[in-house]
Amino acid sequence: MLCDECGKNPAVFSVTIASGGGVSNRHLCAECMKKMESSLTQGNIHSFLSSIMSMLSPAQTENAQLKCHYCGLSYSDFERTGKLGCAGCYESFQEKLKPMLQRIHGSSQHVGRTPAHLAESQNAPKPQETEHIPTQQELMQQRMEELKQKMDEAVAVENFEAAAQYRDEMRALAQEAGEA
Amino acid sequence: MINTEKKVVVSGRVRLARNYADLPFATHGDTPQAQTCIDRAVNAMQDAPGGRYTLRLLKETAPTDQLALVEQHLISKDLLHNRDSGAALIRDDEKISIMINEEDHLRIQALVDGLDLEKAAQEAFEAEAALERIQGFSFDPQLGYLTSCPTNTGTGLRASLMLHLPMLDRFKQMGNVNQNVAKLGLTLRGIYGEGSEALGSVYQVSNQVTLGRKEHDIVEAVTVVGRQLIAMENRLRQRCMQNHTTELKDTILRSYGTMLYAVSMDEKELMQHWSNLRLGAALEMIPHSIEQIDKLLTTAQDAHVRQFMTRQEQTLDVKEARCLLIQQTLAHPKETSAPPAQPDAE
Repeated sequence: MLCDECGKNPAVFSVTIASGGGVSNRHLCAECMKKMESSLTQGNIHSFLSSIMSMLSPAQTENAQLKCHYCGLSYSDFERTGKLGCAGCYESFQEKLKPMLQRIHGSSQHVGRTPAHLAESQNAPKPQETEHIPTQQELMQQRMEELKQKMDEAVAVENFEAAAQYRDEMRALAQEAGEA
Repeated sequence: MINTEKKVVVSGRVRLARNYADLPFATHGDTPQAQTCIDRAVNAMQDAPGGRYTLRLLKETAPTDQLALVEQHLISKDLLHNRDSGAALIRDDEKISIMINEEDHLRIQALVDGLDLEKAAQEAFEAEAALERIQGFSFDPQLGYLTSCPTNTGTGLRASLMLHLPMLDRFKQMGNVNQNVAKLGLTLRGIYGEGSEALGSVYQVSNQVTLGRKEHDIVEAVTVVGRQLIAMENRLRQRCMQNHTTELKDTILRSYGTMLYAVSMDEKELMQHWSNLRLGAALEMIPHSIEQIDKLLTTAQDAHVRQFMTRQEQTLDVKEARCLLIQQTLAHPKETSAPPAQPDAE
């Protein structure tokens, strides 16, 4: 589910607002939740809503003008519905979609299966292609990501001892990277 | 003894979101494009291995029967928003269903009874292979399979386990669990997926992330967390059995009594008693198999009860007919009607 305020990021908070008119439920992303918290500490819910609205207005105009070259869908339509119009939208909106995909999935590079017809052509020999040799920095980065994932998994299953070990390894690796 | 996994797992599911490369994404309404998607899928699955498929066009399906398909998890609630062109190809054993013209052109879904999501994934990939022979799917080397909503981009794969977690619920552990599950790129939802309530302590754990992870890794992550939740739930059940036997027995058998003798019951009350009965069957406190109780999870829901009323020519209201149906199901204890429980695998 996407955030009810910005319509961009996945909603991770559920906020219940009780007012004279009744109770309503809003689903918010981390960013909008943060904004709401800070405006709530400074003022009231109205200042929060108006700050969100004023922030959205200039962007909304720009997004309404941004259209897919293939199907004509505007970016603001996508923001409203959460649905893209065609595969070409990924290309037309790539500047906006890439960071969004990164936020949703923590990655913007597919590593899984390939359709049968493409997989066959990929298996054919490609003489010009040279093998990419990872740099020291890339290897370190990769190891760091592996450790982070392992640590998260250990925490999730409440194996804090293992999690602490991974954390220490990460610290050591970060220090090593800093010295290099 | 009942297999420890079976005590908690209701079912497992893997679904793939796919779009034909040569068409814009799905639109609402009875358009020529929507018909093309239906025709292609039907052609592709005509001689598909694994069993015969039957096409269900929503526009030719009565509203009650549409809802019954949702209750069976063979189609999603979202497909009902597209009543004009929505369709599903359902394999006769009801283990594979291919939704057509939902959010994406195709949603291939494979169901398994237990934890074996790897098997479900395999089945879904086989159906996918048959479907893509007619026309290739939208794919980008960097972003993977392109889907209508960016939350599915990449593998387009959602693996989910439906788990019965009454003790984690009762001891208010679900908040904690939810936080930890989120850290792994997974999510917990209610019985009918996104935005639904966890009625009867039935939860679905599934992956949130679909891009940057291999299909096998996604399936494994959901299975690992599923196993962990099963172990936590079973530990609490054991502890409760040791320390609060009377209270637990009382709760379960009171629900059993209500299910056997009630005259009128709404869905919410059903789910509350169903949950206690499922726990009772897992702890072997009532003379019914888990399969028998799980069957009620589908057959005692509103749309199925309405279908039952039509079949039986009943003039009762739904709440009364529900009780009649439950009592007919529970009239046969497991020795006579259900297959013997699987021996413990561990």
